[in-house]
Amino acid sequence: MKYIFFTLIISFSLSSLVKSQSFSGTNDSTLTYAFDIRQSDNSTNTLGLDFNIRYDIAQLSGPKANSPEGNKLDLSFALAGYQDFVKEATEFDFMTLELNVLGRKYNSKPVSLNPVELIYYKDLLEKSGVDPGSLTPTEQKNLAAFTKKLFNGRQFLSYKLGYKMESNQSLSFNQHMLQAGISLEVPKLHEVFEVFFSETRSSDMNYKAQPIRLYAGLDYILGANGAKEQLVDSTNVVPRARAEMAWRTLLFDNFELRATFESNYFFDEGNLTTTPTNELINFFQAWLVLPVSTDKTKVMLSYAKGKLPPLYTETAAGSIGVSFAIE
Amino acid sequence: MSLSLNQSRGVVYQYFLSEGWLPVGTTTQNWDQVKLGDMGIDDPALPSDPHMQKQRIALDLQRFFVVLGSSVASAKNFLKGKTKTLKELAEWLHQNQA
Repeated sequence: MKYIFFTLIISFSLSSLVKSQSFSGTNDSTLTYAFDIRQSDNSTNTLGLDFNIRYDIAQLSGPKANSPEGNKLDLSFALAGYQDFVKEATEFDFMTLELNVLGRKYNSKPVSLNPVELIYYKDLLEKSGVDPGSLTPTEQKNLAAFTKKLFNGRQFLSYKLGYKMESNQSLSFNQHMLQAGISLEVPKLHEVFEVFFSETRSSDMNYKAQPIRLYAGLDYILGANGAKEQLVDSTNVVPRARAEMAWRTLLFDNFELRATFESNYFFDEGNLTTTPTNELINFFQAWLVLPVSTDKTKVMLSYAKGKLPPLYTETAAGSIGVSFAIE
Repeated sequence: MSLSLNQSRGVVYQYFLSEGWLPVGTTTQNWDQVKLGDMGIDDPALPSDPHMQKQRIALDLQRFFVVLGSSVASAKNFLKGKTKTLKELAEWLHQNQA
């Protein structure tokens, strides 16, 4: 069912409570959790609890612990989801459980400093650490050029392989899958968008837009349990391709524009017991964030349209909200 | 050879300045009070990889230290703390050098 509505709400955006816990006296294993009270992605007239709990065991393999170069693997366990406060609004609840091997690849161009250069840049950093404003224009220029040189041509890629369960909160519907995917920052593409958006900013704004982030993955849905919402036949394997994008920029010096896009594609509609059929299933969401004071109070305009897994309930909704942080 | 606390602060300031993360209104006087949650790192999150930019930034900072002759642990998990400041990040990096 398609529906479009706009509402005016006051939503609490409780700042995420993040707890990093080191175990066994090392920084290798970490428990983090975050809770937010927010609107559902699919509906603007209900509030719920967003939760994200992760346990990461870092560096299953790799070279020297503190070296950034090369491939490294981590193990990650994550539980995330959304529980609506309105008992009847269960169609918006979801939960994911994941166990993944997370990998990353990082390569950068070699930069070696001779002893004189090393002392020079360390002295500049010492001076910058005390007061960046005390650097002379030449020192600022040299330090900026050095920093830029360090990260020119840097290559970074993140990848994962693991198990995932998607379900509603009551577990009355759930589907299990093996997943593999890569994510990266796409170079240059954001500069195309920035041709327009940079025109809205003051010429003296020192704003550097971040690259568009992209995820591409393949899921093998092994089966599902559920009633009428059941998406796939429990005896069949259904391959599903997923692509995701996230991006943000600045408009008129102060307004943030954020956007995410997700697309799902099922390769074999013959194995699907209900919609969606063999088509691209998309979900788009955009936010315009307007600061209204210096104490982090913001007005947020958001718009969401499309379908999200696991139930692929279609929605189109806009909202206006006030966000403030409680720390 | 370990970097001093001021050198670690210099690394943090220069890195986030160079990479364009410092929010509007940041000056050379207040930069170390900027909170990690105000810089828009991984915001909005990529649903299937919500901490990708934190991972990359942590690796960049490790590289900065390596080039300067030191080495430091990954700050990825520290970067998840939205209310932490750049001052605290510099102190954490200084204290977690090998």
